[in-house]
Parts: sequence; structure tokens; C-alpha cells
Amino acid sequence: MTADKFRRTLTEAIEGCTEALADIIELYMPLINRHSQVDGKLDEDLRQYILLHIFNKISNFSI
Amino acid sequence: MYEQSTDRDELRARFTKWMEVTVYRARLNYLKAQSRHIDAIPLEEVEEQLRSPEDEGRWIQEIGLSDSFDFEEEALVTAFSHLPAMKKKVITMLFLLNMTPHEIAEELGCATQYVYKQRSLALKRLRGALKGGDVL
Repeated sequence: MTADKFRRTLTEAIEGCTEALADIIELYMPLINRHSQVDGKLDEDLRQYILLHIFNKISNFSI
Repeated sequence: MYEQSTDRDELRARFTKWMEVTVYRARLNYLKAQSRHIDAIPLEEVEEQLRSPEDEGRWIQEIGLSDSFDFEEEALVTAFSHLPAMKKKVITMLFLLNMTPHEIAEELGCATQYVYKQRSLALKRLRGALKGGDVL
């Protein structure tokens, strides 16, 4: 994703566009998956919690 | 042009950092909530699991009571005997030993608020048992 497209997508995601949010999430999925591991295993509940946390907080990010 | 590109890269870096912090905090919150959930065994339950009826009798002897309350009403005896161990202990300390809730809390190693709660629940149960004949 180019820097320009990233800015546009992020702006849309912050404004509440679900598709843009999905794109951003997809981009950061490796990071989310890495933090969703407990004892070396992927914890689906933890991943869901992290995703919900991001959905709730992303509007606080100022560009 | 170069400046604009730097700004955009900076935005991405800033957002990546924000994501790292947000994800890390979410993970911490989740794990903390999980451990709290696992550890959250009410003191009363722990006491009851650990305390056998023999232990309870031993405790009454330890505090220097030859026998327990001198009940006037038989229904009250039954109701009291059906109280959970911790509530029984709190009621005995409060009304028989005339200890203050603060002293009881220190003795039991719990919060004073917990003693008040136990007293309130125990009295509620006893009143219920006396009124309706429903022991528990």
C-alpha cells in the first residue's frame, strides 16, 4: 500500500468506513496475531477482544 | 514533494506505534480480566471448602466457648445451623463475643465491609427462616 493510499484508507477508517477499517486491520494482522498468542497458541477470544478494542479506539487517533 | 512523502511515512510510523500500544494494552486488559476471573473465588466459598465441620467445632473451642448461642426458638437453632460457616462465625463474633466489625475483619484477615455484608446476609437469612420457615 502506497503512503498516499494508506493516508486515505486510514482517514476513512477513522471516519467509520468499515471497508477501510478492514483494510487497515488486514495490514496489521501479523501484529494482532502475534499479540493474540497465549502460551504459544493463538487465542481466538483474545484476538477478538483486541479487534474490538481497535474498533472502539481507532476514532481517537488523530492524523 | 520530498517533504510530503516524509510526512506520510511519518503518519504510517505513528499509526504503527499507536497500533502496537493499543494492541498491547488490549492484550494486557484481557489477560488481567482472565486472571481476575480465575482468582475471583469468594472468601466464603474458600473458607467453606477448606473448613470441615470438625474444624468449625475446633474454632469454637479455640475462642473459649463451651457451647454456642443459647437459642430460645428452635426454628432459630435450625436456621443458624444451616448458615454457611463464615456467616456463622461472623454472627458468633458479633453477638456472642461482642466484637466490633473492625476487630472481626482483623481477626479474619478480610475487609470490614465484608464483615458487614456477611452480617447483613446472615441476618436476612435468619429473618427469612423465622418468618417463612424457609431455612435457606
